[in-house]
Parts: sequence; C-alpha cells; structure tokens
Amino acid sequence: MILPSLLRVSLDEFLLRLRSQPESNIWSALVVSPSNFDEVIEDLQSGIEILAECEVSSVSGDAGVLQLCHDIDASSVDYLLLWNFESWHPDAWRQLDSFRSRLNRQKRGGVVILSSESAKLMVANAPNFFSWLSPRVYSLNLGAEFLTAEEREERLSALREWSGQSDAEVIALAEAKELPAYPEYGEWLLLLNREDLIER
Amino acid sequence: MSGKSDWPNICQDVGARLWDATPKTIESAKKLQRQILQVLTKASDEEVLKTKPHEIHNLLKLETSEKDGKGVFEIVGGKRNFKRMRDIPHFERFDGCWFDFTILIDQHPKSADILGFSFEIRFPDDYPVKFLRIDLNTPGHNNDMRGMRFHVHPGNDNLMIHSAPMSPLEILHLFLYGLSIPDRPRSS
Repeated sequence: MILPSLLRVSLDEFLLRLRSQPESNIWSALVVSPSNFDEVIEDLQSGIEILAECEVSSVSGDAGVLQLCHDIDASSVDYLLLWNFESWHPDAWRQLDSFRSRLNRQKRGGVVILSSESAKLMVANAPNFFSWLSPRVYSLNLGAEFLTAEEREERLSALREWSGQSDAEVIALAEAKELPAYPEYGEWLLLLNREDLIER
Repeated sequence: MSGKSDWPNICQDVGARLWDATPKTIESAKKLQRQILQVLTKASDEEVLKTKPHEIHNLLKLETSEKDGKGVFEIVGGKRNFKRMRDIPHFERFDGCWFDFTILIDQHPKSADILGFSFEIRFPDDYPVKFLRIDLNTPGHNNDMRGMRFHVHPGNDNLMIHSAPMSPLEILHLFLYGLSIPDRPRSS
C-alpha cells in the first residue's frame, strides 16, 4: 500500500492550524519518524497547551485497540495525542475503523501520531477512519523552525557589515575576553558555533 | 551620594537592584518561542498587529547549539536590520510602528536562563522619536558596563538609561499594547 502524498508542515504551522479550530472535535494525523516520537509528543503537548490554550494528554496504543478506546473514554481532557501504533496488526486497525465514532465527541479534538509504516496500515485497513482524517493528515517537517543555512549566512553578513569586523577578529576578541557584551556579539558567536566563548 | 565620582557606584547600585528584580529563568527556549508565537498571533487576531499568522511563522525562528538538552538558543523575531530599513521583514503594528527582536538563552536540562536580548521598536516617520531599543547585554567583563547591563536606548544609540525589570514577554506586550501613538501629542 502506498501512502498518499502528504502536505509537509512544521510543528509551528501545525499548531497555528490547530489554534484556528478552538473548542472543536477536529482530529488530525501527523506522520513522524518513530525515532522522533518522544520529542514530538513533548513539543506538541507543550505547544498545544500554549497555542490552543487547552488541556492535553497522550494515550498510547501499545496495549491494543480495546485498551486505547477505554483510555480515550476515561480521559476528560480537551485534546488527546494518540501514539504508539507500531505493534498494531491489520486486525487492530480494522477494529479501530469500526470504533472511530468514539473519537467524534463534542468539544474534544486530537492528533494521531503515526510512523509512515503505521500510516500505510491505517490507509489499507481503516479506510473510513483515514477518510475521516484525510483532509488533515500531514507529514511533519521537523526542525523547520530553525534558521536555514541561507538565513544564518544573511545574519552573519549583516553583523559583519554593522561592526566592520571579520569572524576571525570577533573570535580573537572573545578569546582575549575583550569582546563587548552586546547581544549582537552573542548571536555572532552562536552563528559561528563558538557559543563556548559567550560568557555565562 | 554627592559629586561626579559617585555616579559609577550609583549606576552599579541601580543596575544590581534592577537585576535582582528582573525575571531571568524560564522553563525552556522552545516554550518561550511558542509563547511568543501565541502572543503575536493573538495580537494579529486582535488587529493590533498587521503581520499575518503565516508571516509571523516565517519571521519567528530558532538557532541553537543544543546537544543533549544543553546549549545556547537564540529566538529570532525578524531579520537583522541595523540601518532600520522598512523593506527588511519585521513585525508591524496597525498604527505603523514596527519592531524586531532577538533573545539569547542558556538552556539547561530542566530550566533555562535568559543570557541577553535586544528589542527595538521604530515609530512612524512623522513621530518625533525614531526608535526605542531595550537591550540586555550578555554577562561581560567590562566594569564600565556592569551597572548598565540592562538598558534602554531612548531614540538614540548613544544614550542609555537603566531599563525597568521586564521579561522578554513583558517587553513584547509593551511593544504590542503600550507605546501607542497619541491622537493629540502633549506639547512640550
């Protein structure tokens, strides 16, 4: 089964989309590399609490579909992060497909966090559930909130023009503890990967 | 307290008192970045900020040297703009005031310290004050600057006065909701 092509969004773009749907039962799915699950869940939980100003909790699917449905029913928070579907076989996805109405409760939204493998299994075995989510299934562009190489170079150029100094001169002054403590020089050292020279 | 020679000591005393009252610790750089995103998008919803949410997203970035939960982060709001050129991307209020900022943060595994920042707001061309910049210098070795680590440039890069003990989020609120352009300016 091939996964349909998905819109790539940064975590911040995803949070801005969620923010525009407050107090609704909108569900989405994010396709993420399993090695990044922990970081993404922590970032999502904190980000949704700040941006959508609601209570968030995560529910793991590792104990199977019945336990997942029980945990969803037992939870009273506004927003749920469902994850850990990596051990699920096609049968579990088929069962979830028939239980999907349990997610469709008033005023509760959530995100289903999937690897590309579990997303393919969902598409093949839970087509109704996938169809319900599909306008809001995204691939996560992790790290997009960081400066690009081009943006980094643009900022370094601006700093060099502002001070009339070279990178080497700034590093030499910092090593001699003679660099002024202006925040601009702190940024300069960070952009040169010499944050060790920023006094703390 | 009398005479010219006392000023450096007074300056240091004021700086130390201010520093004691200044919020310096945050939970994490990423959390502060998201709080800033929330504040700016809310201001956009309220039509205080002309900058749209997708533009805010493009202007608000992070830089880091972080490894294993430790390192220096920078939150970047807008491009570097030393010459104050309006065509360089920035955040803009509906009344024509515009601003950008950078914040340096020392991230530890369970908390983070604000290391330094620079927030500058520029006023419309016909306003008598051109800009206001609030700087927190990074910790330094320069004794002359020790009492003035946290300061304001009131419309002139060469003038410095001690800043009020505000956190980065409080300064952002000042830039969004304070410093309004009066309909009828007070006469001097």
